[in-house]
Amino acid sequence: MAAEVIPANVRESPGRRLPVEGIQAWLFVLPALLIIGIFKILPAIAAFYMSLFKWDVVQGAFRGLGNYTDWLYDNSLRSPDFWRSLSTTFTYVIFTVPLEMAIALVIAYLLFQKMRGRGIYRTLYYLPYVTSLVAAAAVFVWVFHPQYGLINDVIGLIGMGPQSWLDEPRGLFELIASSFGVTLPAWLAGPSLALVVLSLVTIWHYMGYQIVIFLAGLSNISSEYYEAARLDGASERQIFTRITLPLLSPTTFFVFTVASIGVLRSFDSVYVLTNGGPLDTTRTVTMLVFKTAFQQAQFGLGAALAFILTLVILLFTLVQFRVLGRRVNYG
Amino acid sequence: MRMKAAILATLMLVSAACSAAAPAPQQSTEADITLSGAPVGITLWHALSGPQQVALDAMVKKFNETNGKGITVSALNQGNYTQLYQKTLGAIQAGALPELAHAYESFVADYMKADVVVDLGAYKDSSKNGLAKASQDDIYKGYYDTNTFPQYGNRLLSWPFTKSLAVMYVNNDVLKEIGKPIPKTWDEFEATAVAATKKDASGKVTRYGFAFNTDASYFNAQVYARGGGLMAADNKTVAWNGKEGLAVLQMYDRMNKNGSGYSPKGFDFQNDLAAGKLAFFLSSTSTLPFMKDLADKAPFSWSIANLPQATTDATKQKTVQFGANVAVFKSTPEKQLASWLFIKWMSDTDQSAQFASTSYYMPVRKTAADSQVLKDYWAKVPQGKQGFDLIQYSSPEPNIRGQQDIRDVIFNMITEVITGKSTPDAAMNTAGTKANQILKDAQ
Repeated sequence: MAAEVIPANVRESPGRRLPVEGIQAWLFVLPALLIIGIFKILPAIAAFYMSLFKWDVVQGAFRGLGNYTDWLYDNSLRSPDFWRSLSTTFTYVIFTVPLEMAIALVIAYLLFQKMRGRGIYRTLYYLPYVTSLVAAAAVFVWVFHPQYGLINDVIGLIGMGPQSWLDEPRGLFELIASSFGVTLPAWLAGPSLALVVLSLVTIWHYMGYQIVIFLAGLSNISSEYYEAARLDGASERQIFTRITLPLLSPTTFFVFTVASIGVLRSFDSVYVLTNGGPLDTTRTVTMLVFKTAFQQAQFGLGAALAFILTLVILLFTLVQFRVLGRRVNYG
Repeated sequence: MRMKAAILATLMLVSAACSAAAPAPQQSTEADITLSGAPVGITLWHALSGPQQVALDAMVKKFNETNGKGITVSALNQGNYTQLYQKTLGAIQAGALPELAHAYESFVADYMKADVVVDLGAYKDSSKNGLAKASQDDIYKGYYDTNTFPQYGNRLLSWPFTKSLAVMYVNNDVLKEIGKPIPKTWDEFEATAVAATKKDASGKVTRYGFAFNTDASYFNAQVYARGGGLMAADNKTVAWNGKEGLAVLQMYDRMNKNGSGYSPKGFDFQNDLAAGKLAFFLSSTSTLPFMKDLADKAPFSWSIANLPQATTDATKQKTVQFGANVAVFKSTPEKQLASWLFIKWMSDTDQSAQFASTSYYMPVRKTAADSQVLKDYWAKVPQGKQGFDLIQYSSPEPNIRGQQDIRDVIFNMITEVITGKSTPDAAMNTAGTKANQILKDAQ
């Protein structure tokens, strides 16, 4: 349509139209391109270049994929660290994402109902997400303080002994079992209590965001379905499981994918709450990248690990799309 | 420019190597030049904050006003030590280093991988700009040791700056109540800590004997104090995994089980000791101002003492020397000399005493003790003198490559023991093996 205002001679000769329109278009995207190029793409290229070298403070010998194989199997100091951190990362995902989504969905469903003060509740649940995680973590460190923490006082009221929480490297199941006098084998110990607390704080922080997405998804479901179901005498439970859940599945799938990627690459929450400790039980892959590059000054190895993590996330997301994507009901 | 600097550096290396063979006075041209008096601006990156930054700024101001050679120092805080280290690494990549930086030994060892650090040996010994023999000997030997890097040809790559040492803080009121003196041996220490421990009716501990340190330096200090060493003579394997190290872990394990020791969070141990909830903790002498503040607010009697020792023989007592140093980066001959003149001035008797009394760090020279400034300060804060008297026992920790990772290994070893995840023997075996592997990898 816009072409109609362009003089005929310009429109008819593509060789001359391109520069004018092309330059305009490029000018419009230029700021975004510059920002993305300088702050995202160039560093990624530079990091990939670094990952091919021994880069111990300064650039050293070319290693090809040596840094990658060191992490995967070749180096007896590095590769156990990598596999352990990968398992910690996925444990973190497993203990965070499903629970986070379940709670968010329930709260979103409740907030979707007509009730008084709905706007206030919606704001309240969104507050944690807009709170700086670093500031909130400072408060959580006190809440979970082993000697003076609020949580230990509360569980003391119901007769439980104080726990070390963020300083506790022992596994969740191991601790529960030992309070009944049962000793579990090491492989059944479960995630460290510190990692569980980390998951809880993560859930607290990101829940508000997911509630908003779920609310948007819920309001996209046409009310005609509900009216028809009620006329047919469906119970509230049937309505939820037969109508809401299936029609919400695109939203659920989106939230699941985004939340998983978020946890897989999360850094700030771990950094401020545990910094990878106690006993490396919360050393996720991102924390290992940070330690390798910025604490050990091994930039080549750190860059290689960052790329390995990118591949892992890519693979995980592809699997999600292949396995779950086809079950999504797009109406 | 870069080429020139590289050639000069090579020449310096060659001349240093030659002078090692023949101990004639060094002919290094760079260290012996004269500043023309034209303005020379140099930048110092540091990690001091609060009152210590105020103290440093006052010294810098005085130097800028009185040096008479046109030198202007700008001291810039770069966050904490870790952030300072990370920024300096970034500056190496970008080729934008300051002229001087506050640094721990392990930082300097890393910066040297990029070969950006100036050998201060030539400056120290320069007949024109250096220090006379008597003045050199006045600086504690341990301070030279820690700044001399065996992995880099035993060169002097940094200079003592904000020094301190590992000591024991004691709540005298608690000891008075239980009728015990400050313990001199580890057996006495453990017995006193147990005697100081109090529990309420429900069995909850209301006063502890000892706050565990998981930081590697305090483990190292205890190994020293028990008569052990940290590295084998050839620097190829660790030595802390012997019987002295094991004794430290076994003591932690016993104290953890009998409730006389606990793992404090952050710096809680300071408040706990001040509140009479704790008898002893190990810390750096630089904790002094914080304890002094607490005692000023709610008076209690406290002192600084040497760690309990394996021997009463004063010549064999030992603890760990702490604190950061300052390194000069390669720039122009004028700026390098200006940097040296500043750090030399800082370590003169008067300045050393002045800075010690305002920053609470240890003076770098013995004669600083004779200065009126320090005498006045010690009259007000006797714990400062108690710390000063222990400098002679302090020895540095290893400054070899891989040490930073070994610190993590030690930290994890102690955590395993005090969280009950491992026995002392098992934790020590695993940690020793891992540390030796790290050393082998870093060779």
